[in-house]
Amino acid sequence: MTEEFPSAAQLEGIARRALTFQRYIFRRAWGLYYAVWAAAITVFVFGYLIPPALGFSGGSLGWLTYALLYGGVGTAAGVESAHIFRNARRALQLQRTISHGNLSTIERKKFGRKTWVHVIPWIWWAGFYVIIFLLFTLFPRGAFSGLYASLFMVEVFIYFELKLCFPKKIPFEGKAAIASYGASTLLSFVVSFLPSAFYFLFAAFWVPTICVWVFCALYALRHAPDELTELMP
Amino acid sequence: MDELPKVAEEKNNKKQNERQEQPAFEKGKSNEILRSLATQFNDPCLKSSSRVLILFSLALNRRLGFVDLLNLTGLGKGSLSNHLEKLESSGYVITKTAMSFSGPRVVVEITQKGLEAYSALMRSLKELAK
Repeated sequence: MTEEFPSAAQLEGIARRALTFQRYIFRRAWGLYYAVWAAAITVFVFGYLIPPALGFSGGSLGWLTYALLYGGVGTAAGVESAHIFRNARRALQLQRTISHGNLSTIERKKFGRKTWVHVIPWIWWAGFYVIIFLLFTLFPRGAFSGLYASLFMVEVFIYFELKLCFPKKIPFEGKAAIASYGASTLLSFVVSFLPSAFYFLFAAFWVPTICVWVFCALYALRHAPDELTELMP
Repeated sequence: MDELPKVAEEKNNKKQNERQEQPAFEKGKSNEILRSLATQFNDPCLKSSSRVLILFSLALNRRLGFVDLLNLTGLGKGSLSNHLEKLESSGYVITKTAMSFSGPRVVVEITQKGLEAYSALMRSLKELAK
């Protein structure tokens, strides 16, 4: 390439190329996201087995161990989410900049949202943990129903983040992840109203989601380089 | 990398046609904005589309691996290393060696100066797009 300051058209081309490449980066990052959250869901579903396995017969110490483990995995998942979200917001700003004159009405609405709107899911996410703690402490009987009702918002959050990263088209693995998570959440919500003898169904409903999310992680990592074909001359 | 599939090639051609159909920036105004930008960045380091592209992508991600930058730019290893050297000597990026599961790898991070340069380029792009 020539050693002179890029022209207007070149600058725009550079921005578009950076955004096209960003799709590859996001797809790869989401692959890691699915893997980390598959681990988090596994801990949540089967974590109750950990305290007895460690010799804790019950009580707050056993559940503290479980909470710490889930908190640790959840924190890793949260950090990965924050990383993706920050990068997505920057890409959105660039997309907004170069698309300003050529947006359709729908795209203008999508790209024109103020930045603070994107903070709302994070406020909810922080509140989620407070709500769950209060539910289990104050209303233990209805806690599981409340938990699974709250998890529907996670579904919305995941969809929102995916749409932010892939405004044109959410990849196949993203749709699979949302679908499986939504199905498991809905079924778990229904089971939470049944007698406790049916609680083994929680594990049955979430194992497929764990498997799907592991598949989504591998699929995303395998197919992320497909996005690079658009960069080829 | 795998051979470009026919479908992807057709998609590429379609995108190139779409780009050609996009309205061009108003010439006089854009030249003025770019002249102002070139004066502001009286730095030969930024007189390269490849280096500006690297700066853009690093601004979006904050840090990228050497292999990622190869994929981004389509340059050879030697050429990319030259560009990174120039960017680093001008203070726009820092290169580091990070450990990973597959061994040590080169990672490039953008500096505050690089972010400021990116912000100025973004402001100019906004002006150009109006």
